[in-house]
Amino acid sequence: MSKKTLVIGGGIAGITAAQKIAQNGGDVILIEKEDALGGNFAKLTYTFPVLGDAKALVSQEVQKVQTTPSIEILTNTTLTACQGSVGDFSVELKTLSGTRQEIVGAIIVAAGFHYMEPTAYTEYSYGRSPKVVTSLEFEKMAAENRLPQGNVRVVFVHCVGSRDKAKGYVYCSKICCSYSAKHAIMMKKANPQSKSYVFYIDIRALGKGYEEFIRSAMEEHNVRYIRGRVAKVLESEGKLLVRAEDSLMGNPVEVEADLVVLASAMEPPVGSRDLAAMLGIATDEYGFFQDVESNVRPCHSSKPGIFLAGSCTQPMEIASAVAMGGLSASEALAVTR
Amino acid sequence: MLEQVKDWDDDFYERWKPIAMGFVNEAERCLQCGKCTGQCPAAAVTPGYNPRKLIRDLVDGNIKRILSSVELWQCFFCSGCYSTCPMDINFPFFIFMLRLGAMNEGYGWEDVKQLEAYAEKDYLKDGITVSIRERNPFVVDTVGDIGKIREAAGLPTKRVVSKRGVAEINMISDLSGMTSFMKKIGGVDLLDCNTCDDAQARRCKTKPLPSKVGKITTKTRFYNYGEPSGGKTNAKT
Amino acid sequence: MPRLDKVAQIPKPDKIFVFKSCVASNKYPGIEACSSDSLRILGIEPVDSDEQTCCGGFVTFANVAAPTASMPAVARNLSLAEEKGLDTCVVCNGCWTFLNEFGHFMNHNAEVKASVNMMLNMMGKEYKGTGSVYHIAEMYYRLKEELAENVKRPLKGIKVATHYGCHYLGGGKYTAIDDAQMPSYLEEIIEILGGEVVPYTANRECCGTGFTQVINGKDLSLEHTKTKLDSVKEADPDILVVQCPYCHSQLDRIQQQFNYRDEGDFQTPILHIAQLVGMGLGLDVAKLGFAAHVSGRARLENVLDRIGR
Ligand SMILES: Cc1cc2nc3c(=O)[nH]c(=O)nc-3n(C[C@H](O)[C@H](O)[C@H](O)COP(=O)(O)OP(=O)(O)OC[C@H]3O[C@@H](n4cnc5c(N)ncnc54)[C@H](O)[C@@H]3O)c2cc1C
Ligand code: SF4
Ligand code: SF4
Ligand code: SF4
Repeated sequence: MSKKTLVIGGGIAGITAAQKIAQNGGDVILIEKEDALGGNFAKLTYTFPVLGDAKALVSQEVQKVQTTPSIEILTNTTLTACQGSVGDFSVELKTLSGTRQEIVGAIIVAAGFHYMEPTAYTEYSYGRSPKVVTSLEFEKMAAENRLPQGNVRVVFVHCVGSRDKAKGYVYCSKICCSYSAKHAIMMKKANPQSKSYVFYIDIRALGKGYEEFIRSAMEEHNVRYIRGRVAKVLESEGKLLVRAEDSLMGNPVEVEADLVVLASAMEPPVGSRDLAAMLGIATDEYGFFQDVESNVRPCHSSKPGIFLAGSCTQPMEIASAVAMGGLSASEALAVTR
Repeated sequence: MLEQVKDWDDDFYERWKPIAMGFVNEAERCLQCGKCTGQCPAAAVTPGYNPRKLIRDLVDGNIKRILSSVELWQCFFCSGCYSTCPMDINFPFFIFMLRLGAMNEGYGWEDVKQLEAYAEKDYLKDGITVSIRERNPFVVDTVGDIGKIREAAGLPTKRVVSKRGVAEINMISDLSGMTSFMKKIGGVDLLDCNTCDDAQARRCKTKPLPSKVGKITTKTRFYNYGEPSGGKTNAKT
Repeated sequence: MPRLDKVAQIPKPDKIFVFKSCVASNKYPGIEACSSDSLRILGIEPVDSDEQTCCGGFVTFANVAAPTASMPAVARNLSLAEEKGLDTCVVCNGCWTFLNEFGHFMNHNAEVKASVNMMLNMMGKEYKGTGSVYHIAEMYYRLKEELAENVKRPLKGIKVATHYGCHYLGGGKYTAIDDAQMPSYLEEIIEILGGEVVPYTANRECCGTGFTQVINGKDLSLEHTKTKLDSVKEADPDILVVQCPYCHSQLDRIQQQFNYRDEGDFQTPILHIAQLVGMGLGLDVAKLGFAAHVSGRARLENVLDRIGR
């Protein structure tokens, strides 16, 4: 029986899992397919609900795993084969320098999410107008101080690709309501002259302090919340025309905007079904990794000894990804020692 | 105004679905997101018209409000809502179904009466719904005789549907009950600029632009979905 | 972006049944003449029948004919092409959705199809559901290469704007050959013909006919047409090309009504895609049927002067 645990994915969920295992005396191999750790967290600028400095927070956590001797970090590495059962998995890892065989006692899948490219949403002029961006691009613009200056109107569009059977996914991406509020506040802070409009269907802000956070966007930062899914974004003489219904009033409205930010869906990570097949575990109808029992065993995959953590199971925020990372670490420890 | 939910009709939708011949899909899927209304050309020019609200009432069962409304008859049938609906709700077919339902209750006949003539005097008579008879005197002044233009383009002076073709659609109309239905409505007269007199032509030319004719008496319909807040004039300024 | 897999499925037959449109025949005969002649130049022999009637869409959605009445009428018209073993080519968006939608419905409902056929059998006809219905704009796009080879009168320097029409893109959410929100195949055809595409804001807006609203709710219909025309006027194209004779008639005639009633000065010629293609393929000017056009007549002459008669 091997005492090692393999963690797949170096986002915040994987990092947390690795740390917790190491803190409790276990050994970890942490693999990450990109060349740096941090995952999507590292692409953010601020975090809700307290506008924490994302880059500082994530590098602090990354540093912790990097300085822990019992965690071996392999970047640019993916899993290529997996055999065996709980306590004795033999895995093949493809690194930059070649392949490598390992025996591990448990596996934690923390492969994260993929952010949907809303190219199917031609009605929103995405890909046609440079002034229509996704929320992730907005994070980058904010980090690089490229948010529009002067007397501008910025429109935030909820539920792009989520809650949409026709072009996207039926599920709700759960956190875009919250991060769109964050973005609207960031916009106001970066450019107090700007006006922000958020178009929503329902506001889903389920977490400690989230409701207050969204209310603060409305009350303190004067962000206008309009209930209605945006119908289309037209280009007109250098401006964008955003059409939607103000469904609380029952009246169509048009906003002349300078920037439109699409809160696109969080999708399953690329290649999740292949990875699941390799590991012999189940995915749900969308390709997220499936837990066996979502109430009391949320991090158990369909195979003993393989555990799930973070946004590879469903869209989630950092706090939940961290919690799930910790939970999966304790499950992994339970079977490896 | 307080509404009594117990008065809502729980199974109208189930009853009428078969009449729309399966063209309507599940209205229950509607998210009430308003994407349809946001792009709706009718909603853009009509105070109170709102496809989302009509779907809401259909799902709730507040059928009375829909059937007695003016709004039910204001849809442009453009399918824009369907093309953008995230839940694939084919709204124009619901309108089609609901209009049949409204007529069944005695509403909207004045609108259908305006249209009946095109079926009776053009479609069933010539097999062609848009008639060669011009009904706009300005167009006659500008364009002249369509027959000559057809000839110049190398076409027969008049497009004629064969006797057999016309007889067959009449047979279909008789057998399917369309003919007797039309008799019940009895359409309005349609003019033909080439045969009408100068006085009529003058009337046509000076008629105020937007025109609404409704001669037969049916149940009165109401603006059940109301004006947008502030009314149409205020909404504009 | 056109859905190329869908385009590739459209056959290039030797012959096709050309389905005549009411508005085209009786208001804009140029469309009727150009559709047949252009197909012939592109290598497809048009076949028609004087037994073909109106598709029946108008009377159905005007609630005068119930689906029980229009279903057999659709089947009857489709059977005319089937008898000859041909697919159907329509020039009107209304015909396209109506024939496709109802045809599709019968093909998937054996019971309805059987009862429809009971009626058709009395006339010595039968609906099998073997033929497909294509819009002529789809055919042109399919015949892109042939089109490029046969351009005789390039539309050099002519600014053309497009209007696709709701009943093709809207109703054809999943069946049209292009994306319902940002279509571009007409633009491609214009470029093949040598024209210059001009964008305008209200491109995807409805023409305002509002189906029966132009009769029953004319004020709403006109208000919407005005927003459309205003946006077109801003871009100032030489030609606004449509692919539906019903849109054609609305956009063409309502301009004149506004002009006469001093509600604007609109002079944009409206052409059906068949006429535009006919013009590019060098058809005789009389065949284009411009004499039947109401608005922008002077500008049409000017266009002809520039590209040659
Ligand atoms: C625009 C935007 C704004 C957001 N703002 C906030 C916020 O303010 N507050 C908040 O709490 N949350 C926010 N989030 C959510 C936050 O990004 C996620 O909760 C968090 O990133 C989830 O972490 P994770 O570790 O589960 O997944 P990820 O961050 O996606 O990490 C997964 C890692 O696994 C790697 N990987 C994937 N597949 C493999 C494989 N096969 N082999 C090896 N490695 C693999 C990936 O490269 C990646 O590094 C935001 C999200 C977005 C899109
Ligand atoms: S979290 Fe909000 S914006 Fe995101 S999909 Fe759900 S409801 Fe829409
Ligand atoms: S777009 Fe579709 S789901 Fe949204 S309100 Fe309209 S009908 Fe309902
Ligand atoms: S079909 Fe009717 S409800 Fe739908 S967008 Fe067109 S006008 Fe509006």
